[in-house]
Amino acid sequence: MTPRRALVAVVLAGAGAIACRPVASHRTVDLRNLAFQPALVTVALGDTITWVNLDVVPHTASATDSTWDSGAIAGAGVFTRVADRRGSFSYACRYHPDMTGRLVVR
Amino acid sequence: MRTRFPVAAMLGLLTAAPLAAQADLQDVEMAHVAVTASAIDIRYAHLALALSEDAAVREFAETMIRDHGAVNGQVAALARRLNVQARDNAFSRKLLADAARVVDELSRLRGAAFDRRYIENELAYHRTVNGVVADAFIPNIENAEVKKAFEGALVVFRGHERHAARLAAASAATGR
Repeated sequence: MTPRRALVAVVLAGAGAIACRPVASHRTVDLRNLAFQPALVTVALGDTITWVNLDVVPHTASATDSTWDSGAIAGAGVFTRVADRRGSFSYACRYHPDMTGRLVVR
Repeated sequence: MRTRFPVAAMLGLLTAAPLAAQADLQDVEMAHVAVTASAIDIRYAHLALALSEDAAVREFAETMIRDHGAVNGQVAALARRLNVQARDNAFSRKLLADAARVVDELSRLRGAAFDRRYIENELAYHRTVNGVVADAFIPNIENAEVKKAFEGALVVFRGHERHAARLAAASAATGR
């Protein structure tokens, strides 16, 4: 293979890899009326999830297994994290025990 | 325009003391009642943080301070935007008088006796005030923004009521 053909092959292979790689998407969870809405979110590994607090009072999004915690999210505040582990994870607001949610990462 | 509803009946809910008169409350007076009720609950919560060593009780008290402070901040911001001022009234003064008695009682208690009485009072207080807000205030509020703020606050305060009920049930189950 000539150097020129080799270069073309490398470029095409790279383009194919890029085309086949799933694009990370973004999901939003509203914190509204003392609830996570939706309460169940399913995302792909690498996706981004943003929690948006639409209540006046602060909330948290805190993993039940303590692996991650938003800290206080003030009214109109947001918290964003990337889904970096596959599995099904429960989480809750540390301030309001009624507020529970589940994040499924595939 | 004034809104009429039986304040006497609401006060009766709080103290069981029959009052003869009926009163008129405007939106700004209902806002004053809401701010006063929140300020009272913040006062109770500070007392809990000073006297309780129970982690669940302390977390509840911290939530009361955080949430009622946020709601009162919202009311203040709304009042500034509408260029109005919450107005003192007989209902607010009655709430304060009752609260002084509760604070006096709570401050004499220690340990599990304090925790139990604090949570009992929180449950009863939220149940009563939530009932007043839902049944007497919200249906009679004239300003749409004020009504929306009350509706949002009620959702939060009903959450507090459920939280207090959960703690009261746990206390009853453990006998503490």
